[in-house]
Amino acid sequence: MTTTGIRAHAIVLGDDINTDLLHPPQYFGISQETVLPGFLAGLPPEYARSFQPGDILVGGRNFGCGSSREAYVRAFKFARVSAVIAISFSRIFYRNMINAGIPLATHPTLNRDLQPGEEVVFNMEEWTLYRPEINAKVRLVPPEEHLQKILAAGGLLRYLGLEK
Amino acid sequence: MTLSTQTQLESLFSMAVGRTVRAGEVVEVPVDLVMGHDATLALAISDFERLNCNLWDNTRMLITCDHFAPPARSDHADLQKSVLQFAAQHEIPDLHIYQGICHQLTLEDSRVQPGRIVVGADSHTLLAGAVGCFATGLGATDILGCMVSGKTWFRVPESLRITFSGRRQPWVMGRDLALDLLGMFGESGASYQALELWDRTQDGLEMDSRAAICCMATEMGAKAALFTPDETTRDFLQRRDHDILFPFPPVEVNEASYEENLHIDVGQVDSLVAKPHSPANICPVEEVKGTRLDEVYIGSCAGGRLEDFAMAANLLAGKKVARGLKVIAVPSSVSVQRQVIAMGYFQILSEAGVCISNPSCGACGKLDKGVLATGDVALTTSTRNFQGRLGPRESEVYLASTATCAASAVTGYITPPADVWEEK
Repeated sequence: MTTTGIRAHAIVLGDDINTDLLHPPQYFGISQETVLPGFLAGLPPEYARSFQPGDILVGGRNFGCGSSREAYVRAFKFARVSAVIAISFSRIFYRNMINAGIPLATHPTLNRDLQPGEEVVFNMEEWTLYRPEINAKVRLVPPEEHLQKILAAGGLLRYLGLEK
Repeated sequence: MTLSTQTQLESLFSMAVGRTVRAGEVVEVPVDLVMGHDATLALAISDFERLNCNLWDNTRMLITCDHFAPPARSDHADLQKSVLQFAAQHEIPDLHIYQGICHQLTLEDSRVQPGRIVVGADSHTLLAGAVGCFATGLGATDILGCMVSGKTWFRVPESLRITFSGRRQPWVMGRDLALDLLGMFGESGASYQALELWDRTQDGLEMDSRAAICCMATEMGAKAALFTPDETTRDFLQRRDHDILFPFPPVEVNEASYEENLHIDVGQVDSLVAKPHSPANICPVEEVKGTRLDEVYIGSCAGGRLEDFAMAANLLAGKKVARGLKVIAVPSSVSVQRQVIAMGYFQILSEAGVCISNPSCGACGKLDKGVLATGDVALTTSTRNFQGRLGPRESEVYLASTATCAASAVTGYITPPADVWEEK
């Protein structure tokens, strides 16, 4: 079993995690100083405290519902979120993540299967998540082909050739 | 009449790409209008400038300053300044500074016509679907792509067909119908899908009510919501544009396949409330009747139109707001504000003790006015009651129609408008 990929902890969340919980509107802005303190700041504080750079967010249904504002995308990048996996995603959040080049995938039960903070290995080539503690590999559902192209380019601006 | 086997959106997207397309296909389409506001557009502009982009067409843009209107924080003023500088540099003809909420101004814009494709850097862009166009919200990066290329991609959505019929109680508003749909669908029940709405009600739904319904479709996860153009649409466009500028899409006997085909008798819908902390946490107003309030807010893109002010004035005429209650009303645009003044509603609300603020996003989103205190309980017509949306985590927001908000403003606790309704 190949177990290579991004080694990270899973921050496990529930259903309907909205953008105000992921990044409250008062942290709206462009610079790292403004947006990074808002990362996960609408949730109980233990979530932001337990997050380490490179970690993966694992949510339930309708992840990222709510606002379109991409300040949260910037916060995700500054915080270095490696990937987001959920049962399903809200449509704008889904596009925003792809456009930013942050990988996402779906899985029907992962947020119920994982322990909070569990160590995982995310492999984007084969779209799997390896769980060392139980030596099991979970198959993820990748984004649609068209979106994988944008993701592979490193986001929309690179895909459109606007950014090198 | 012609026979169609396409949903309205399949037909709209087929027109846009010049071939027959079906739900599920990913298509690249030209966009007719790109809307952005002082908050989200600032993000797109920072990348636009960093990457030395060229603007596709300055006449296809609509830019508003409404979120920080006027700004209360210098960092917000800085973001807004970057938008104003961009608008000046690119000579954007349609720049609206403190003239109202972007979505209301989009609805009032003559470029927004049945059959068009409208994108906006804000989730509630769906509102413009009230006139029968495809209108949807995108993130700043997607908007940047549209600003540069004039096109974007969409997966043609499946449609849920919803037909309203019957006769409303006089205090039941479009907002109540939206809450009714939210109760049925939940926060994700229409994800990636479109609502195709038909008005077969006895008295007709005014454009203001249609706008409230399309706006709140966002909270069901919908990609778009589109009211089938009809006589109400024609009257609205005639008033707005002083002419019918474009031919209407043909009225069709529709035999398309829909995900669902719902019929709602509006006579069966009474006032509803969304309890904290979800816009889909719906109950009859009776269930939360008597809940003590600290603030009532009538405004946002889901309220604050002329219909809302008429309703508020009707319920508050000759009355005073409850002692100790903070009551704020915000017209959704200056055009609405002027009518509110001309109709005498401003005077009525002002005499009742309502604070009427300038057209803007107002108390929605903790941006520049009407932020709640710790422990506050508010009843609002705004779009979202997510935890912490209008104040600290330890505040609670109930969402309802303007009728319910105005009735409750008098008593100081959640009050069914039916309880205080007087025939006039």
